[in-house]
Amino acid sequence: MMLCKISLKNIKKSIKDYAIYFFTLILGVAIFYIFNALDSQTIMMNVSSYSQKLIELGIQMLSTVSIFVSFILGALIIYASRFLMKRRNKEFAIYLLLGMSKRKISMILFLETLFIGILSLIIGISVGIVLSQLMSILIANMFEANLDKFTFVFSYKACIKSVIYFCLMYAIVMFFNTFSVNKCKLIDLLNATKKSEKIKLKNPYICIIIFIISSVVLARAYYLVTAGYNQLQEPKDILLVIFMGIISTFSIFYSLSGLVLRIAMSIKKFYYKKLNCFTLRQFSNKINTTVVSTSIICLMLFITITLLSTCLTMKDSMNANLNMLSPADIFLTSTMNMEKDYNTYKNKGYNDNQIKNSSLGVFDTLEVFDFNLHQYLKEYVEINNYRTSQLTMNHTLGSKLEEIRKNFPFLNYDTPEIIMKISDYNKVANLYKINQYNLKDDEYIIVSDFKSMIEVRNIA
Amino acid sequence: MDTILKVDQIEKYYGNNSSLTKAIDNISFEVEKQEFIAIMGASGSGKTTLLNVISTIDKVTSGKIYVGGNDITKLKGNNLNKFRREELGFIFQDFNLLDTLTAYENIALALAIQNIKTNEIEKRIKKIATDLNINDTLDKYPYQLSGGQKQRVASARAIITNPKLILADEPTGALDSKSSKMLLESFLQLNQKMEATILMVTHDAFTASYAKRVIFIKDGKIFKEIYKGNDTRKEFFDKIIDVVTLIGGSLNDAL
Ligand SMILES: Nc1ncnc2c1ncn2[C@@H]1O[C@H](COP(=O)(O)OP(=O)(O)OP(=O)(O)O)[C@@H](O)[C@H]1O
Ligand SMILES: [Mg+2]
Repeated sequence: MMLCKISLKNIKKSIKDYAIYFFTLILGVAIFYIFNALDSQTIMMNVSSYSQKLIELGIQMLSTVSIFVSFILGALIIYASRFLMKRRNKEFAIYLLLGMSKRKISMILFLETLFIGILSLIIGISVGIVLSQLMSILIANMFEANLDKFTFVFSYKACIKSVIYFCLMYAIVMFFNTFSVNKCKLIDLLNATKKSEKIKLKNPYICIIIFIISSVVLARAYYLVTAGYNQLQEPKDILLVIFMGIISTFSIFYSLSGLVLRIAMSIKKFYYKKLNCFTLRQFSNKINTTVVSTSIICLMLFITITLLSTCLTMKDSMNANLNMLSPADIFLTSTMNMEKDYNTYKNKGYNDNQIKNSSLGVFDTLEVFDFNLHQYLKEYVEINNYRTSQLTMNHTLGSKLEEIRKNFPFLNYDTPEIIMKISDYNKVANLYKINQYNLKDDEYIIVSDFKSMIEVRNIA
Repeated sequence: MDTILKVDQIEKYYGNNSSLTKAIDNISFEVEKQEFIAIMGASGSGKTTLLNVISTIDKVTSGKIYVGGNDITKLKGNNLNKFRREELGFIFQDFNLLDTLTAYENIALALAIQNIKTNEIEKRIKKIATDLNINDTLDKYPYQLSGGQKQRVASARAIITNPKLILADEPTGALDSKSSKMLLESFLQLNQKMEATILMVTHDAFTASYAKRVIFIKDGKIFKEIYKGNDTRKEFFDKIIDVVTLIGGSLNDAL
């Protein structure tokens, strides 16, 4: 009873002092929720199956990044709770001297952390739910989904995931707290309050230099993720930009805090009249927490922006690929001649009927279903591709195989090559209005469209 | 009379071999029930250290300290908590009240830790508040109180549990002479009415003259002891001044 009262009173005070810490926590939880909720937000949308794939990829990325966000948050919580505890050395010393057991002190801390945690979790998820509705509108616009079906969505999965991650983080924090309470000695707690904490003054010139350099770096990073986002193609680049963002954000706030303290101290009147040494110390403490919290807020915003722009890049490049790779409107395939390898295809999930009819081409199959192509389509071609396990990439890459294997270890070199008659190729080329080729006996050309595949083929 | 506190050849060293400070260098003395003792000495002579080891805030390097027959240097865990909770009242020089709690709650804290019922707590606080003349301040927060009022609240917190032993580190250090007098009068009352045993560190000869015995410490050793006996406070004050002059040096600046 008494313990609860003590912790509640202390929280009331802390909330005033550490508004920014709460704000960071809430924002962090909200972002975590949004990232993980996109999943069910987009399911409601009516997008092409192709965009669907793209969105799925994005969602996967987001939930990976959200783990990263939770790490940042965890660091913040541990930092802040240690900081809050340090301020309370005197209080704990009094409890101990009045004969309270260390277990009870840990309990007070536990209750407080729990209360703060639950509060920020509830508010954070509420904010997240609201913001994720906006997010889904944004995504819908991006992928030209039709919004008729838009409804208010609440993601249980994301909610539960946020709660679990948050609880995990808080369990770690509580472990830390209990550990440090058990470790502390009464005499040290008492002396800690008397020892005036040294105000570390940073060298102003170094501060200015750091500030300028990191401003430039940060500006570059922000430019890359906003205006210049289409330069970001590889995951490597994105990581580099995030790294740039993290380092420069922290250094900016670090150097800025040093400068602000300098300025506050150099205004002598201000220093001696308005702020005595004690309040200056408080001031510098406050600056330090503010620095960490603001940096983390900025960082989370930065990561969000980065992710959004990555989504945009992905969408752009995928759209470009889409136009390049399948310029025709409709693309029908059917696997043929499955009867020969009955068992293989049976294992792949084809049923008997499908296998029996597989000697028919696409046109014939459509005719079986009474579907008249001429009625719907202006131009069309039918071509046959062949595959055989006797011609795989191993063969076509020829003597360069070993070298390529080294550089592209992830390719499946046993994939059968797709073989096409030159006459069929020219039919297609005619349709797409691209170059047609003529081949003599014994000659072949390799046609390839993925960028990296082109690389591989050019080596060979 | 019963011996309530027995300090037996204690030593307290700070630092390592290269820079060793003997803050307490072989001190022994005994305190009887209902005694009121002042400890005086120059700055750095080891007074705070002595009080800290008796109150279990710090640990001795060697020697034993008995409170009511138990060696408190060996206490651990729950026994240590129990000792601090039930037998010890500590008054700090800088009050050490909790800013988040009102005066009433600060005092109640000591009883709440002992799991005493709320109405019993209220009864006891009312009584002690009347004794120490802090009835009007109970609902205020520490920042709304004067130094003297805070010191009396802190004293109330220390004595409300009826401890066997009250330790006070320079209780009048931050007070003006009027507040000092008021606090010392309440100490006398505690000492006489409630049979509290008081051990008080002070720089100030006037404050010390309220005690029944004054122990002088110099360089971590007991330099001299004087008893009040049947002297008036004025006569005792003059005797204290004499010893202070004898020790000389830095104690003068405190007068
Ligand atoms: N934590 C510590 N580490 C090292 N030396 C210490 C420590 N605490 C006290 N000392 C040394 O022990 C000696 C006694 O210190 P103590 O605080 O007991 O003096 P004091 O009599 O209370 O002085 P004052 O009247 O100024 O409060 C001093 O020389 C001091 O420098
Ligand atoms: Mg001292």
